[in-house]
Amino acid sequence: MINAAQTLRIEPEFSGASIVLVGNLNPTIFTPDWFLRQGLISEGDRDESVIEVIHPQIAQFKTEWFELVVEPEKFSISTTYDPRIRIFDLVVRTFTEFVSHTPLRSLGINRSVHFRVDDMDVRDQLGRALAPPDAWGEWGPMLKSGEGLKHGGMTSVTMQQRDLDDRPAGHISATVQPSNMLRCGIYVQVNDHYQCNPEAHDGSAMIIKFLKENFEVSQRRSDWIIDQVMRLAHV
Amino acid sequence: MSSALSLKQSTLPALTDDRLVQEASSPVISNGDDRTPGPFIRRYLAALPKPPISPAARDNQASSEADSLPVNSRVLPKIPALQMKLRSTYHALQEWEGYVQSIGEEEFGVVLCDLTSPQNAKSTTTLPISDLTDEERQALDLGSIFRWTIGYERTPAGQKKRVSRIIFRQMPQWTDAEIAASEDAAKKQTESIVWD
Repeated sequence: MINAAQTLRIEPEFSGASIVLVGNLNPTIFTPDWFLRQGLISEGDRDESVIEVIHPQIAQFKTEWFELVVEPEKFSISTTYDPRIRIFDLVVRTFTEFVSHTPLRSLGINRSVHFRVDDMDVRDQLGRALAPPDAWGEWGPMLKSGEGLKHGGMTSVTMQQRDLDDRPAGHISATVQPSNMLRCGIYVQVNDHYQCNPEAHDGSAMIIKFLKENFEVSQRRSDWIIDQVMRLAHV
Repeated sequence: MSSALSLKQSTLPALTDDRLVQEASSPVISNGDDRTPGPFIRRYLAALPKPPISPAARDNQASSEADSLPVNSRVLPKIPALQMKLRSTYHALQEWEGYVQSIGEEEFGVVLCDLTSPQNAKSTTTLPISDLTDEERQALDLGSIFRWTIGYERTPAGQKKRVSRIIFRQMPQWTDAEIAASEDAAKKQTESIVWD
């Protein structure tokens, strides 16, 4: 049961969110100066920004609280700083007030965390709950064997929900992996994918409308899904 | 669960569509391997012919953090992963949304909605203006909407510190179409009222 506000039972050590828009874009537009001129970021954000590249095929820069990558068919903004609503405000304002005629086809609202569990046994327990080695028959015991770098088991599991009545098409996917950032850590990523009807003449407006109506709902639901995984560490 | 590193680098075959998609991604919170392109990209961009893929499948791939290669793909160079530890992260344990009700010399009065425990009633309190950054002070105005969070910031050095932040929202403006739709909905609702 998704609560109105979903808190995670294990405090993540790394936590972030991103919004990805797929459409037809001109990367060279999206510079820190452009965002400042539109009043979308502050002078401080612009002055502290680090530009990786501005090129017709890719624009990328980062500020203290967000990182932006724009390619001809993808706009991706991500943050590791709460409140995550800030990237929502920035995206919605950008695509409603300034580049409202940008053709958009699909949307991803993503949430990712790295969290730590007590020890490697707990991490193994979680992995085996998601992907039981015994399901692999005679190979199962070999998957469970080994110590240290030779220790086998689950490396990645992805589950996908497609029965969704809040969108024309799309899915919610969650991926669980051992964390590369934390010893005894788990990485979980949730991708909430929304696809508008290809025949819809107002696809871009529908995409932004869905984002406006669902960003916080999506983030709470993603936290709920992540918490289901965290629950396995407490069994 | 395996202690092996993430599947992305060690298990990827060379130059299939799926691997190109993963190679080109640039998630901030990846699983320890941020594929963010670096300053060398200008020298390495090259066109790569790509087999046909349905628009739906292409868009499905592209919206996740890990899948992002455009149809007219360009191969991005394999840039050494940025270390996550070089970036600070801030996770809120408690979050409120509020608006400014009054502004004094040293404090401003606010009405707060508890986003972490929404069953709590709205509350009013005052917050010190000195807690605001210079930029946030410029956004301080009657009716301004903000988010107040309390949580832990982890610094690149690995330190963890408790932080309180107030961020004024730069909220989207209502569009003419949204205003018209709201007026239309309100009119229909009014007309549907049956008076005794």
